[in-house]
Amino acid sequence: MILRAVDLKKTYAIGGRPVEALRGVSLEIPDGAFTFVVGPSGSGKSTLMHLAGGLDRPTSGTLEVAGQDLARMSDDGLSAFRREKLGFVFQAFNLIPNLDAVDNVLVPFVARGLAEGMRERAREMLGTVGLGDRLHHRPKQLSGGEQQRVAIARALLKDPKLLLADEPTGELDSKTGAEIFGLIRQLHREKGASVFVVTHDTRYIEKDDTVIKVEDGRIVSQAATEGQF
Amino acid sequence: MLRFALKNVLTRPLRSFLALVGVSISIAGVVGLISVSSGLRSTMSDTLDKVEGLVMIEANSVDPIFSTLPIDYARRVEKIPGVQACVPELWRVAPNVEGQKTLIGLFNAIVVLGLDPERHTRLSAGHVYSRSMRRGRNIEPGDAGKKRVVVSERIARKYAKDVGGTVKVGEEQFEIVGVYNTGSLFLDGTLVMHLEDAWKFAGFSRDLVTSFYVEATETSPEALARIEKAIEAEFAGEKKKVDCLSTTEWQAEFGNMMKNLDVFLLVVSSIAVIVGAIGILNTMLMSVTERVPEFGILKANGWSRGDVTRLVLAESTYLGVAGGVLGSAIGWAGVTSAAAMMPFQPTAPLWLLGSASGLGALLGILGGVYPARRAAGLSPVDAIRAS
Repeated sequence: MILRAVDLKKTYAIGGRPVEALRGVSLEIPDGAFTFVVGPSGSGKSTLMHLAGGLDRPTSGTLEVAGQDLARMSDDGLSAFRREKLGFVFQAFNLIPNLDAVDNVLVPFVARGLAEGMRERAREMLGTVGLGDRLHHRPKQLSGGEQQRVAIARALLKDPKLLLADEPTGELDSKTGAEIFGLIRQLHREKGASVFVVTHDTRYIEKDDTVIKVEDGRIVSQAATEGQF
Repeated sequence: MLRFALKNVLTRPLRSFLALVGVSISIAGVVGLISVSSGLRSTMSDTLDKVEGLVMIEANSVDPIFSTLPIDYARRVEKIPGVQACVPELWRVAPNVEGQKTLIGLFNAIVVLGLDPERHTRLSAGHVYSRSMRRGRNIEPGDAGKKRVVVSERIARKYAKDVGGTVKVGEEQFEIVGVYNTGSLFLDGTLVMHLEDAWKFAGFSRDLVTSFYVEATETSPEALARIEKAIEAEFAGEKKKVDCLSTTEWQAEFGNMMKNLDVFLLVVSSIAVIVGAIGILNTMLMSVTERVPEFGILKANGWSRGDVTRLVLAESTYLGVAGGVLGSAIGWAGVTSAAAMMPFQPTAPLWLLGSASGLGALLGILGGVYPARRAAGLSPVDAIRAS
């Protein structure tokens, strides 16, 4: 299993008032699955992704990702886990503004002093996502689609076990969105990485994808599709 | 990571520049103050190294200028075992030279020293001025009543005078027979004349002088201390008691004065250092606040708390080091320019410049600690949401 959650709960305190974002989620996602988490705004799908990505900690319950119990890991352990096992693609692209495309792709490896040794591979990855001629452009000099490609190249370079994407096409037009999903599908196919996409745009769901519907902090359905959703 | 940190500093030029200005001014101030203090110490130390004997003055008069003693004290001192010679001196402030007031500024005052050249021949090491002649000759016994003086190189230069010329001291014209140069700021403000002329000049009766220079047969501090005690005891029963001051005591007196200056320097330097650290703290805090989403991205990509802390500290240290080096350079330039205009030489030695640069690095680290902790403590989710 790439992900196993048992009675997962997350409660935030907003303005001193507890808000239950997840109210006991249990699910199992097999290795190599391409999973969509869909649901309306405020349903808890992003919270689920943040917990799965070790970006936040559950209030209670069990959460295992790639065989690791995230709830029991130390901060440093979680950092290493994110660095070594996970790739992230966010709606707002989340690139470092003063770094060029190559350096942005190398960001996960800079702190460990590994960036220089991976520079050539970073260039290759950018070539793979179609940015071979944009290597030294900064985020401001790139279009939204190009920025998202840089983010995908950053995730690709890590060779992740699990790619987590939070509304990856939310700020892109349909054509660019389709291209971005094409790249994510390519990563899934070629690298065998599991993919966990949080979205309310269901156009990119394909046959054999796992679709989890979340509403009010609970899973209301989980099924493998047999065609266009 | 260091390259990334440097890039972060360089891509925010205005903010980095302002932090740099704050730190460098603080460091330059510290360099300047310590250079002045160090120059003053070195000037005083040079002076004291040239005076090996004891100076005997009237008790509680602080300086020979304010002292009056009977000249026949010399004979009694010379009978004390261990005393090689005791020569009378008459010190007075020159009210004006060449019609110009001389008491302007601590280091520019000109004083008159009257000495008895015959008695000075008893000094085995000679007098500091006679040892430092550059041109002409010393005051000799035959100069008595002839209104002749020996002046320092500094005085000669200041009034454009030389051997063979005359200099007006008060209302009297004196012929310059020699020029000396001790190299000491404090000693080189002296016009040396025969005691006969000095008595007239100062309006002193011939049985009075201001002080005595006592040379001992041994110059060890212990021997000098022993003689000093014996001299003070000799005149303990007199109406005019005496104090003897050795180089060690002058040094102690000066040390006490410098201690007060050091406290002042410490306070001013500490304020400068605190201001510099606050400058970096402010810059880094603003930078961290602006870059919250960036830290979220780093953390999502596996940067640990320690990694983020190191990044922010590296950035603040870059600012501190650059400010330290720039401040040292500004301080050095300031000290070098000021040296030409000051009566003594403020010195900015290499160790000071190196330490000042190091202080800059320390300021950078201190100023970066809180912002680094803040950045490191950010929750990745909250930081990413901030974008």
